[in-house]
Amino acid sequence: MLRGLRHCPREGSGTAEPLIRLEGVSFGFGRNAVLEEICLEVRRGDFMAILGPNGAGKTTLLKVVLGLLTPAAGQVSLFGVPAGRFRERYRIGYVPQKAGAFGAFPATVWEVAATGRFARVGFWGRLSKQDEAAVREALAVLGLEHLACRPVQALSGGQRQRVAIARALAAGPEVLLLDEAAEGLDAAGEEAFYGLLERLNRERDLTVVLVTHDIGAVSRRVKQVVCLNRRIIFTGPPQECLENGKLSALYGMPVYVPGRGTESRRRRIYSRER
Amino acid sequence: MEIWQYGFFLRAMAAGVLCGVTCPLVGVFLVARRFSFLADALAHISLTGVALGLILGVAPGVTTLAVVVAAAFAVEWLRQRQRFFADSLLAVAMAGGLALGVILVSKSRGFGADLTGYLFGSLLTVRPEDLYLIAGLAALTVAAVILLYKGLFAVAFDEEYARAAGLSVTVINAAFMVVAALTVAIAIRAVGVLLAGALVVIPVLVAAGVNRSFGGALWTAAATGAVLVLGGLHLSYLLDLPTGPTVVLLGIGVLIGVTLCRRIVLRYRGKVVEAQDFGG
Ligand SMILES: Nc1ncnc2c1ncn2[C@@H]1O[C@H](COP(=O)(O)OP(=O)(O)OP(=O)(O)O)[C@@H](O)[C@H]1O
Ligand SMILES: [Mg+2]
Repeated sequence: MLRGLRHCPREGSGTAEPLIRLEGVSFGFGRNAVLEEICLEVRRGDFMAILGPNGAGKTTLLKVVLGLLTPAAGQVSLFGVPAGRFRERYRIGYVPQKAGAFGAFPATVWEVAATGRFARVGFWGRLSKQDEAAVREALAVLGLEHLACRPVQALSGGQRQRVAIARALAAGPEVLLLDEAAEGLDAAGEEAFYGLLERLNRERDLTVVLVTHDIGAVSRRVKQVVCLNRRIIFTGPPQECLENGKLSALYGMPVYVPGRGTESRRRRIYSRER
Repeated sequence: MEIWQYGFFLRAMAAGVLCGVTCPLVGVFLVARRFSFLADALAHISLTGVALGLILGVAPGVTTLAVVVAAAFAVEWLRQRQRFFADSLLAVAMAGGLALGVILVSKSRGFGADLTGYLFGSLLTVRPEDLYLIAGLAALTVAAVILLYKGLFAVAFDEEYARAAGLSVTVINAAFMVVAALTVAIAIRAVGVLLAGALVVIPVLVAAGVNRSFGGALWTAAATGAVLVLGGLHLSYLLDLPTGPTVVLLGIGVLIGVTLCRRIVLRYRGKVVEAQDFGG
């Protein structure tokens, strides 16, 4: 009964306002426990990477935060409000895993990116000039202005992925949850993308939580790393995570993260499925 | 044309345009969700409604609407739970509705002479009071699509994202199911049970072939639907053919024509023709 209410150690950085708070959250698909006793706090200004092998529950964790899945135990609060009563969903942006897999029915890049704005206007309201400006800016940020009138079906996989990111940014979120969002971006695009996230985090105080397998690429940039494999195995700054064989424990195999060299930095880490 | 002097033909044209516009408006969202078989399934399930009306001695129109709306809700409820593949779910629903309908009909005093009209449509016998009902249902559908457009688009395009963004997806889906059920009821009047699905889907495929945007496809589909029904109505009069099937065959002809033209234009412009797959 009281299991979910037990005291959570405070993680994350400093004393900034907690935007996402998970207390003793557990979730399972049927009997298959996927998340167990997750305690996690994301504070304003955080730049957090979630690492873990395939099937570790990373996507599930994001979906629980977004209210797409209801936890079996524990509590989720968003912006200080219990998730069940939280209404201002537009404050949380989301780029789903495989976000670029849009259907085959025609829709332009503009139309898709604009759906990111719907959470703000509701479906009665019309998109105002301000809303349109926000969509345009999001497209510009991802280098998609010239494709605005193209149907998304006629874009490459990486371009579609950018559309999904633009859609999330168009909402003007305060927290951005990204599920392997850099998947399918080319080397320059990936560099630019992480650079963009870093800039948004620094300049606009956008809080970023990203799920990735590309430890090398994010370790220089993020402020916090969370290692997840059903339970939270480690929370802390990236340097600490890379030391002490924490990653090897997470993946159950020796893991070598290349240093800050440019060549090998992009090597990804794979592991057996759980 | 001489035929325009007759009230029954004018009513047929009016009812036809109303059906021609509403069915594809709903069809666009169904096709985008890969759920276009819903129209066919609901149309077949309507037989249960008609039979219930005959047995209970209630106007079959009323029981049909009730049964179709209830079936739409049931299908949506099951789809949400992801217990079955969406398309097989529809196949089961359709077979079940039809089977129940046939059994009920066999227990009633018989279907009467109207079976052909029910199966293949009976635009030419639309009475003024039918026309008012069709106009009312059509107005409701168009209003719902306009009011809910943003939500419907977001859900049809990416349901999970719409949910994550906090749109009331469940409400949108429920409203959409009611609208879809009403539309099927209208389509049955125009082209009959067997062809209702065609009127919902064919104009949409034509529109999808010539549009880049969703909004564009929506209006093109509605316009195409109206033109197809009007064209089919006149063709069937001139060639003395049954109306519903004529509308459908004309639509398929147009669809093939548009697809071929599109290929030719794209090849002429040197663009790659991307394989598009509008699965049911
Ligand atoms: N719809 C589902 N039904 C049943 N089990 C599921 C479902 N979705 C995920 N799971 C299970 O939940 C576990 C966690 O899945 P999740 O998608 O969260 O993993 P992940 O960490 O995101 O992995 P990946 O790196 O492959 O994206 C997996 O073991 C998977 O088998
Ligand atoms: Mg995942």
